[in-house]
Amino acid sequence: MNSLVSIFLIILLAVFHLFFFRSFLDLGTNSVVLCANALFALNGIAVYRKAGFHKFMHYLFGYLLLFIFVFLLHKSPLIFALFVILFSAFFLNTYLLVYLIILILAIVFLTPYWLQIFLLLGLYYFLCHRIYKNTFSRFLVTMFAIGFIFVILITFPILYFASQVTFQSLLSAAKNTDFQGALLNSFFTSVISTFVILVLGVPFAYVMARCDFSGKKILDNLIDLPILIPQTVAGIALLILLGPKSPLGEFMYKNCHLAFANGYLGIIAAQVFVSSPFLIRSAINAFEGIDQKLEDASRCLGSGPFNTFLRISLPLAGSGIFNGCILSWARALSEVGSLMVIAYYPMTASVFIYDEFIKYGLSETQPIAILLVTSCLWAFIVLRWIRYQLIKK
Amino acid sequence: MFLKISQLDKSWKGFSLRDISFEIKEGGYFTILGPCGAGKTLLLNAIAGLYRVDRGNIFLGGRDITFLPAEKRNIGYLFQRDALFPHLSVKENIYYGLRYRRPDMRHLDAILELLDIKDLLSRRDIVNLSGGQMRKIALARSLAIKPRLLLLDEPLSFLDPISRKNVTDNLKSLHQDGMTIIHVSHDIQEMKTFSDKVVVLVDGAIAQQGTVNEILNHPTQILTERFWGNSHA
Repeated sequence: MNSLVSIFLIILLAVFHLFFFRSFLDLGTNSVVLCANALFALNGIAVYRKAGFHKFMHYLFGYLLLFIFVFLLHKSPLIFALFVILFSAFFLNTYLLVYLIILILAIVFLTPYWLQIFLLLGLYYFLCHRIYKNTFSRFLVTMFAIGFIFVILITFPILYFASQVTFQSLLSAAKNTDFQGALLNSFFTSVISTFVILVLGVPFAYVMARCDFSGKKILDNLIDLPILIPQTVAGIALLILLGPKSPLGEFMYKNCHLAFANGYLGIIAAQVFVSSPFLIRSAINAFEGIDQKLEDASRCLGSGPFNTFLRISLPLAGSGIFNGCILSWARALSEVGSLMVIAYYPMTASVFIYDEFIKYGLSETQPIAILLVTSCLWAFIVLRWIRYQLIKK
Repeated sequence: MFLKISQLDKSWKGFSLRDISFEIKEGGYFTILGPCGAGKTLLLNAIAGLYRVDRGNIFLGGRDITFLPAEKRNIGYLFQRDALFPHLSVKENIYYGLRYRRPDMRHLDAILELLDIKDLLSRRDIVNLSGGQMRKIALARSLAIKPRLLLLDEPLSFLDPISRKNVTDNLKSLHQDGMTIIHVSHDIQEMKTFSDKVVVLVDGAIAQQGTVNEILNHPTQILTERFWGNSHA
C-alpha cells in the first residue's frame, strides 16, 4: 500500500514536470528539480505519519515559501532544488532547520554578504541555543539576543573588510619597509606610554580607591576627561604646551635637547594623554574590589603601609591592573588624531595608514590596514591569554 | 592595669563612639557585648590602631599607644570572617607576620599543636577550606606574632556546631596559658562561657560594665530594652 502510494506520487510529479515546466526549464534543471520534489513528496509522507497533520501543514508551508522566494523572486531553480532537498532532510530536526533558514535568508535577501551574514547569524543562533541549554532561562537568552546585535555591529565591518583582500597583496604590503618601520614605532611608543601610565597611575588609583577627601569627585571626573576631548584638540593642546615655540618646549630643547613636536617624546606624550583613563579606571576598580580588612589584617601583623601595598594590595589588584595595561596599550596603539597634530613624523602605523589613504586611496590602504589589525589582534590575544594564565594561578 | 582606655571618642561615617573607658588586667578574658551596629568592631579597630581616635587615650602595659601605628602595636586581631589572604597559601598566611620580627619556631609549633592544624600547612589554596579550618588558620596567623593582646571579632560566628566547640576549647586553653583576650560578641551564651568581665555597648556608648554575674543579675533598663528585648523577661 505504502509503496504503491509512493510510486503513484512520483509518476504524478514526473508527468507534471514534463508537461508544465518544459517550457521554461531546460531538461537538466528540470530533472534536478523533479528529484528534489520527489524527495520532498516522499519525505512528506513520513512527516505526516510521524508528526501529524499540523506539522505536515508547516512542512507544506515551508515549501511554499521556498518556492515563492527562491524560485519565483530569486529565479534560481537549482538553488531552489538544493534548498528543497535540505529542507526535507532537516525538517524534523528543529535545531538544524534553523541553520538552514538562516542560510536561505542570507542567500536570498543579502546575497553580496551571504557568507559573512550566515557565519555571524549561525554563531548567534549557536550561542543563544547554548545559553538556553545551560540556563533554561528565556530572559537571559533574550538579553543575549539583544546584546549580540552589538557584537555583530563590531565584528561585521572587520570581517567583511578582512575577507576582501588577497593573500598576495598582504604579502607585498608586509614587505613595505616604511610600514615595518611605522609598525615598530607604534609598538615601541605604545609600550613606553603604558609603562609611564602604570608608574604614575597606580599610586594615584590606590589613593582614589582608599581615601575620601574633599575634591575627590572632581578629580574622579577629571580622570575621564581625555575620553571626552576630541583627539585633535588633545593634540593641539599638547602642541601649544610642548611645541617648539612654547616656553616649556623651548626650555626643554635648550637645556635637555628634547623636542616634543615631531619626535618620539611627542608621540608618547599624546599616547599617555589619550590612553591613561583606561588603566587608571581599571586600577581604581581593582583596588576598590579588595576587602579593606585584608589590608587591615596585614597592618595588624606588623606590615607597614608600603609593605602591605606590595604584599597584599598590588598582587590582589594585579589582574585588574594588567587588564587596564592591555586596554591602555591598545588605545595608545590605535591613537591617530592627536598624533597627526603633534607628531606626524616619525610615523606610527595608524598615521601611516591615514597617509597612504590620502595619497593612494582605498585599495592600496586595505592590505596594510588588515596587517595592522591582525598584528595588533595577535598581540592583544597573547596578552589576554597571559592574563588568564595569571588568574588561574 | 594592662590595657586602659580612657574617655575615647571616635566618629566614623556618621557613627560615633562616645566616652568609652574601661580597664583590663593582664591575662583577663574580657567581653564586649552589644547588638549589631553598636560600634563593637569600630572599638576593636581603634584599639588595634587601624583608626586614629578623635579624643582619649589607650594605654597598653603602661605605655601610651594612642598614636602608635597598627603595625607597631603587636596586637593580634582575629577579624570577622577571618580576612585570610586569598592569594597566599595556608603556610604563607600563617607565616605572614614573621617577616617583621625574629621568628620563634617553638612558639609557632606550640600554636599549630594547640589548634591542631599541622596537616593543613601543606595546603595551597585557602578558598576551599572549611569555615572552622579557616578560623583556626586566621587565629594561628594572629598568634604567630606573639601578640601581647588578642582581639577577637565574633570568633564563633558562621561556624558549624562542631567547629564552634573546637574553637571554643582553643580559646579557653589560650586563656589558661595567660593570653589577654578581648572578645566581641552579640551572644549572651558566649559571654557566659568565657568571660570574667563584660562591657555592654549600646549605640556607641557603654551601657553597663561589670562581672558576668553583675550583668546577668542586675541588668540596667536600657540593656533589658535594647539588647535582650522580651526574651530575658
